[in-house]
Amino acid sequence: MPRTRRDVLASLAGVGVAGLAGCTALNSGESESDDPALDPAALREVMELGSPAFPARVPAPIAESFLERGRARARELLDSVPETMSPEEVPNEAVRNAYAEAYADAAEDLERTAVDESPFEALRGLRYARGAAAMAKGTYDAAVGDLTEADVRDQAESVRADIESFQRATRYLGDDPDRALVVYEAVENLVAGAVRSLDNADEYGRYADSAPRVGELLDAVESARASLDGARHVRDRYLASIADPVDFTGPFEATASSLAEIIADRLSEYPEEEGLEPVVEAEGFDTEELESMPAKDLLVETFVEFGSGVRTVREALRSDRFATALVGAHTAETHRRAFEDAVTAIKRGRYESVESAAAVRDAKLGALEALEAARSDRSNPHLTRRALVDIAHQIGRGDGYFRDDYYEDGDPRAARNALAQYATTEFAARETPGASAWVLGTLAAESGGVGR
Amino acid sequence: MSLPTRRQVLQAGGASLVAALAGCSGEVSSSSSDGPHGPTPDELVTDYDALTVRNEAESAIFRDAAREDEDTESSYLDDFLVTTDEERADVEFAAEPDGIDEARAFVDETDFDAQTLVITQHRTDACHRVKLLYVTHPPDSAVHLDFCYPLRPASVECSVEDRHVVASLVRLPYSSEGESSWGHGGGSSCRLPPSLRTETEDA
Repeated sequence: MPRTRRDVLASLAGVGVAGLAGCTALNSGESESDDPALDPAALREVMELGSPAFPARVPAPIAESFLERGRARARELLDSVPETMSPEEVPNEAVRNAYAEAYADAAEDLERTAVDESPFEALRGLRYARGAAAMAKGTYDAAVGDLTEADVRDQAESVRADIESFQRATRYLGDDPDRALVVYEAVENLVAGAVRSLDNADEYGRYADSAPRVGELLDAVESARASLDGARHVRDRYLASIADPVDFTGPFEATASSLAEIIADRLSEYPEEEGLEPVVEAEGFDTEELESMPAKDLLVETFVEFGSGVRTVREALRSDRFATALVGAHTAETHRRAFEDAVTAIKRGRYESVESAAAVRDAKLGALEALEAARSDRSNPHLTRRALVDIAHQIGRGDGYFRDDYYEDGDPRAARNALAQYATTEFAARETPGASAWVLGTLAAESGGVGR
Repeated sequence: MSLPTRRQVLQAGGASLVAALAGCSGEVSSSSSDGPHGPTPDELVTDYDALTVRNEAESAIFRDAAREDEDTESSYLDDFLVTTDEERADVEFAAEPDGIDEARAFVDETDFDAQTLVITQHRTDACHRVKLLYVTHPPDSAVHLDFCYPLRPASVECSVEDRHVVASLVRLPYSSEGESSWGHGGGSSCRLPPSLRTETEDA
């Protein structure tokens, strides 16, 4: 299936990193399998159990009027240009074709904003609609001689200056540290998305030295503006919702730094040689034996996410994104614990094979139960729920193995790979509330109990 | 066992995560630790002269007189590495598009004691042009020219159904007498490869 423009943009902007994990299982796609034959109908029933909805949210009141203004901005950009270029005004047919494609994409993206999604997802999605409309407008204006690449580059510099000004002016003011952390991580991600839009404009363009190239640059500028507008809205609406804000800037920075050291230390406890094999072997496993077991992917998935969290912390600290670093530390610790739990479970004989479709069903039910239990935990609801958004999608990924073109319903590899995804979800979800307490407990200690 | 390496797991950047999990798509991804692939800046040839000629028809602009081909109307497009006066004599003009006089002069004025001439011919639609992106000549290897195909200006009247032939003439600033190996390639992207960007893209 071809990727949509939004898929491509999302991955370029880096929000698709989590989605990149999870394909490990396909790596074990040997054609011959010792797995027992499983009942396809029963496996299909497992898939049809469905996936829980975990839309991304932010604990700040996003105004519908803000979302409507964003859509109106996209509509206004698109309405300012005609649906098609005439050969008289633009004699180059390839430019006209590029414009027609850009216009159709923009119209489609405007429609897409009406799809049911959380207000925060709608806010994040505005950059696609606004960017696509700007692509069409920039292409048209450049083709008829009303806009140049230099004009748009000037606009890009202006947006960069606005981003820097916003970053300088933002302090981590809040009420409850759990809520503040999730709000500011969202703000940081939106700002980082704005920066990436501008940085990636030259990296990933389809066109060069042409009117559509100007359109691409205007797309990047408008996307960056939309992300920055979103960041400002989330921050301002959050601040407007609290009466007596506390400044968490110092505690966030100190906690992020100390947790970064802790998770780096914990990572150093694992073998540092090349390859994950030493990590797995150090736990007493025979890597050859693991190869055909669901256990392999369970270990890989959890350790990969551990490493991914460590990397996020490192990168976020380099750019003073302390909330992102703290959420990254949460990811790292959750999955380190999940990895250790998985090691223990595998040593007890679990996840060696897929005995039956019922075993796959039980793994999925275990994952769903763990997710719901974590979601119901009220101790640090915002950070826990934030983390579960990234974990819950693995259920869908597991289901995907049954739908995937690579497999038939009854293919035992599909069941094995799906089971590993469900198990990864279960282990990570179980550890999520504890990891939230670990992060926020350390934050409380650093800040002397601020805000609690 | 096909586990990702620990280093891959920990490397910075989304691309490295893809690499860590490579195998799921059957493709090989480059890893950031390897550094950018592609030609290096010290392999670049920058002080060349270049000229482009477009034939608004599908037929070749240049033909190799030495090519043993009975069918002079063949759709084959010859490319040339010209290093001597004798080889220049084999460069035959097969069409008379706009700019052909400049092309003749460009060929005639090449001094093979100090220069080398490369002529490539490309088929493209009437709405795209052919742009020389970069020239490299690594030590102990052949000269390589890389092209891309950007859109022509919006004001150019053209149809994507019409086919043109574009010849690129490139005069390299050194003699290559006795050399016969060379190459050229290209793609839709006019972005320089990562290995060349910082040093050359603003040049």
